[in-house]
Amino acid sequence: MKYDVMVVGGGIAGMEAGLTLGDMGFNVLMVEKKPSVGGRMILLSKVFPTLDCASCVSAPKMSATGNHPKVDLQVNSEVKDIRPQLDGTFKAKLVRKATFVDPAACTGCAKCETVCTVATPDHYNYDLAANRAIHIAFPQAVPKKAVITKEGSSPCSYACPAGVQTHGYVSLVRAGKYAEAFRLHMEDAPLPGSLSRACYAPCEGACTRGDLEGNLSIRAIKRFMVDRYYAEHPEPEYGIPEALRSDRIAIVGSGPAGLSAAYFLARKGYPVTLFESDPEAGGMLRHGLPPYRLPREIVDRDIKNITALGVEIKTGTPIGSLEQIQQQGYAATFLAVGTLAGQGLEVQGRDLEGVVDAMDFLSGTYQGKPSAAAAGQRVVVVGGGNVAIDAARVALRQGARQVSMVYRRTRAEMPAHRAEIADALSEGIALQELRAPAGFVGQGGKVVAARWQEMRLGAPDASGRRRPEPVPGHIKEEPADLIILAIGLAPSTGPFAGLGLDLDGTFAVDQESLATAVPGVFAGGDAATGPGMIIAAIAQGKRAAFYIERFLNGESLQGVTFDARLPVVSHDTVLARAEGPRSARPKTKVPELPVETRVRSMVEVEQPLTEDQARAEASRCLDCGVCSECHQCVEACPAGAIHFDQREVEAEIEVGSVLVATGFDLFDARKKPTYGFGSSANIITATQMDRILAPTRPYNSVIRPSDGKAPANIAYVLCTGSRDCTVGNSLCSRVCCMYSIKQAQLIMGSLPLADVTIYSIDIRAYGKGYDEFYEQAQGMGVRFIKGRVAKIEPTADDNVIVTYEDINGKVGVQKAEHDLVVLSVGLSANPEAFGLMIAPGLARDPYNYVLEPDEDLEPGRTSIPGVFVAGTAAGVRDIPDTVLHSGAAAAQVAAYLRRNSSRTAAALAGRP
Amino acid sequence: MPEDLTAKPRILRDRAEVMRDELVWRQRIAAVMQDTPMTLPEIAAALGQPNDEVTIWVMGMRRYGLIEELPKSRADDYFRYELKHGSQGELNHGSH
Ligand SMILES: Cc1cc2nc3c(=O)[nH]c(=O)nc-3n(C[C@H](O)[C@H](O)[C@H](O)COP(=O)(O)OP(=O)(O)OC[C@H]3O[C@@H](n4cnc5c(N)ncnc54)[C@H](O)[C@@H]3O)c2cc1C
Ligand code: SF4
Ligand code: SF4
Repeated sequence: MKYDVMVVGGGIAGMEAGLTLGDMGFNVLMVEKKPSVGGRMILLSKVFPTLDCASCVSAPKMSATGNHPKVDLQVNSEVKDIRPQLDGTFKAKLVRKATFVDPAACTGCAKCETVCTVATPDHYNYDLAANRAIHIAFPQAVPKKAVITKEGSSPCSYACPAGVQTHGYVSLVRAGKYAEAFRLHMEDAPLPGSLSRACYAPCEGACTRGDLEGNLSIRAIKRFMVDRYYAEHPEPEYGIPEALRSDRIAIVGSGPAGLSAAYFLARKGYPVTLFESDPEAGGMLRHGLPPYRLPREIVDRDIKNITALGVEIKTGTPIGSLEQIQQQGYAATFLAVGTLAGQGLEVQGRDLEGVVDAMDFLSGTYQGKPSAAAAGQRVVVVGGGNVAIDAARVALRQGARQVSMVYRRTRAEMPAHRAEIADALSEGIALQELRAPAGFVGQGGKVVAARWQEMRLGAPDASGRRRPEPVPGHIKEEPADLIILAIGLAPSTGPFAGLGLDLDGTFAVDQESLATAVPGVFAGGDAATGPGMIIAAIAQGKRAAFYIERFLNGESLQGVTFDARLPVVSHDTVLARAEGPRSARPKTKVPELPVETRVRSMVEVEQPLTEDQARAEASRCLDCGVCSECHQCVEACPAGAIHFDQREVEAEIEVGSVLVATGFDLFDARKKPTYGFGSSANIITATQMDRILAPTRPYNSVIRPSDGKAPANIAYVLCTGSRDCTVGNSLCSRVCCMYSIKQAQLIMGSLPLADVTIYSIDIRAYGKGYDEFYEQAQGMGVRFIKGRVAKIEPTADDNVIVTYEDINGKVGVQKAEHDLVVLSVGLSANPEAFGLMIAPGLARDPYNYVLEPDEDLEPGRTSIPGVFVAGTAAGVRDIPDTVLHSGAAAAQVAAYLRRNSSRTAAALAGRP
Repeated sequence: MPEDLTAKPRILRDRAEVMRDELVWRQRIAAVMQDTPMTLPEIAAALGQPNDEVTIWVMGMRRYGLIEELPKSRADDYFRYELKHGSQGELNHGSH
């Protein structure tokens, strides 16, 4: 892409110069980092001294900029670097940021804004009011297109293996949109009920609030949302989708991985059959997880989410080989057979009656098998993982006389989750650390005792944990009636061994596509990864569905991205956003049944949050990535303009010259702590006041931010951050006196009963009509007090006390109470201009503005030939002076382009 | 009642946090002003929440079409706000 000139910055300076150059016939590229042109001027109420409406003056220029045939306007774009070339031209790298909205489709109807669930400070209203993660910058924006503020993936959503939009459903619950929250979850994972009970919740571990008072209880929020939805929807809201595809798909195993694959494929219109060897579907959800953690009616309701799509589940149908499936003509197969077998233990007495494997014990209990009866028995569980804990707690609930867990390392090394261990111990289960089974002793073929080898911790092993070693000669025998072995699970991959297994017996699959060595056969879930967690298995099913569809479409399984989440935002970034103190919001404790009650039955231990608790917990969310991807805007947008797969685009361009019009920065009033900004809602900046006075104001009228009262006694404090060496800026900002007088006049117009006082060192009113404007304000009754303000403090009743010295009145230090104080903040240099150029950098003046080496005679020229500057990027100036300066800069650009093109032409023609 | 001379100004919360809370408070705000238009301090008192935070929430609700102001005479210090006709749809979340 080639242009004559690139204008960086679309404020009044950039627009003026760009339009002038466009009118001269040059091809102009205008780059603006924000979603609209207009800069600061469009946000003003009126302009001094004419009191013309700022929008009425800027809007025509903005629209001309958007429509000029010679001006290519690129908003939401930034210049990464500019490299001067030997021929006097420049190469530059441009980045167009992702806004997640297709500007060509967006009509600017703003329907999206009203449904968005994330409220953020509206920077166009200088944070006085909230806008939404999706927003149109301001009513007169050019182009008038919605954009989404999204800083990356929120840590919770990013941590979810299945890509569940955790932040999305949390923000929906916060907004009271529970059914929408449920439906959002169903976009990414189909078993929300089971997950709300039994997910190990990696999202909670990643939650940024964990760095403050404690992570959000995300799973409890999910449970509230699911319970509410299932109570209102005993059956799914949808039915069998239109049969779009004829390829039949077989899935072996109806655990979370199989169910998830079936769900995603059936939604795409494929006929899916699930084969399950057990009498009921659910895999581990039904046969492993104890009902006190996951009630079976929740599993049943979750499975309806899949069967409602027409998925046929053939229970009691073990598949003995791959051929058994292939003979039935399925176009693709997904093997999700899980890890339901126990690991073998080579120890004396292993085959005695009363020595059982944990999975057999658990499923036997749920099916009422006598082999799993623990009532009245002395039960010992061998192992330190989550399965061991489940087995111990189930034995207790069966009415075991005593239950202990034996683990060969110590509690600190136990792989079970901390909370689960604590719960088990609180229920009275004993933990015997540093013990390993040395053999089981039987009588009449039945176990009566166990021999325990005492262990100690040696050097760390491959897992990083210290290796347990036997202490020679320390073996103890203790009576036991039931020994439950929970020392690991083995994949149920035996019948399919011909496909190729890894050393641990799991399927050997391509990690990305989950394809096995046999085309059309995919495998996933615990059977491919080893024992994991429900949500990881669901993720595998979802991944398999994606690649199976590609396989059936004849598309390559290589070179595609299944999971294209944005990079995660860091906790530090999120926490650094706070400008004031956050309220301490302790984590809501998830209620539990008391120990005495819960250990006697399989009733669910965790109790639900109330609606108020769930919303309060959700409101602790920090909106880490900003937009939560709740997808409400997607639903609301009539134009289908919102696309979360949009990404940033980089372009390389060539330009004949560069015009820098990056404008100014405002003095941050917090850097003058004696002026109290941030300590009261009624100490505001003049930029905020200009918004309150503008017709497009954030409020319904001129009211004060603390309580909506029409202010009656307003003070202006001039030179806040200007002419003040204590904050490092000795310059006069030139506009503050005049804009304050302008605002004072506007206030007197809209609040005729109000008193306005302006505190200043002196009033600088040079320029055509400026002094008259000042006198006019005095005539209207504005009080001018000469004297620097020393201190500004809020009172307990929302008023503000100003301590000042009255020089003219010669009465020394005084205090005055006002109901609103406006800080007339100064302008400062915007350092961004200096980041644009790759060597040589732009030279700066002593105040950090872009240096014009010959400011008087060659305004607009910078230290680099071919690079020009316009407006406040080169120094403080008001709008008339900015427009004038831009005209001069445009003329300089035109002259340079003409000179350089004739030089280039001469060089090409071989002339000197 | 004598003025409490020891009263200290309240410390303002992080503004972004206050704004996030609008989504939680708006149904409660709608509930207290269901039958009568109210000023911002009246709404704040009914909810037991700080005036400045309620101002931010109500102005957010106004911006997105849920609330509107009634005309006020010059002598009145405060505007009264009422629920906008037809705003119930967006506010009545919580059960479907
Ligand atoms: C409270 C207040 C009231 C005022 N009132 C008046 C008034 O009544 N009358 C008056 O004459 N003047 C007034 N002024 C001054 C007036 O606002 C400025 O003179 C004018 O806006 C300067 O225009 P500009 O284009 O140089 O800068 P800006 O308006 O700041 O525009 C610069 C643009 O460049 C963009 N940009 C910055 N960096 C990059 C980058 N790296 N890449 C791409 N884009 C970038 C910015 O987003 C912005 O859109 C007031 C100022 C203040 C603070
Ligand atoms: S996805 Fe949700 S949070 Fe994000 S912009 Fe859309 S409505 Fe707002
Ligand atoms: S604070 Fe909110 S968005 Fe951030 S990680 Fe926690 S739940 Fe997710």
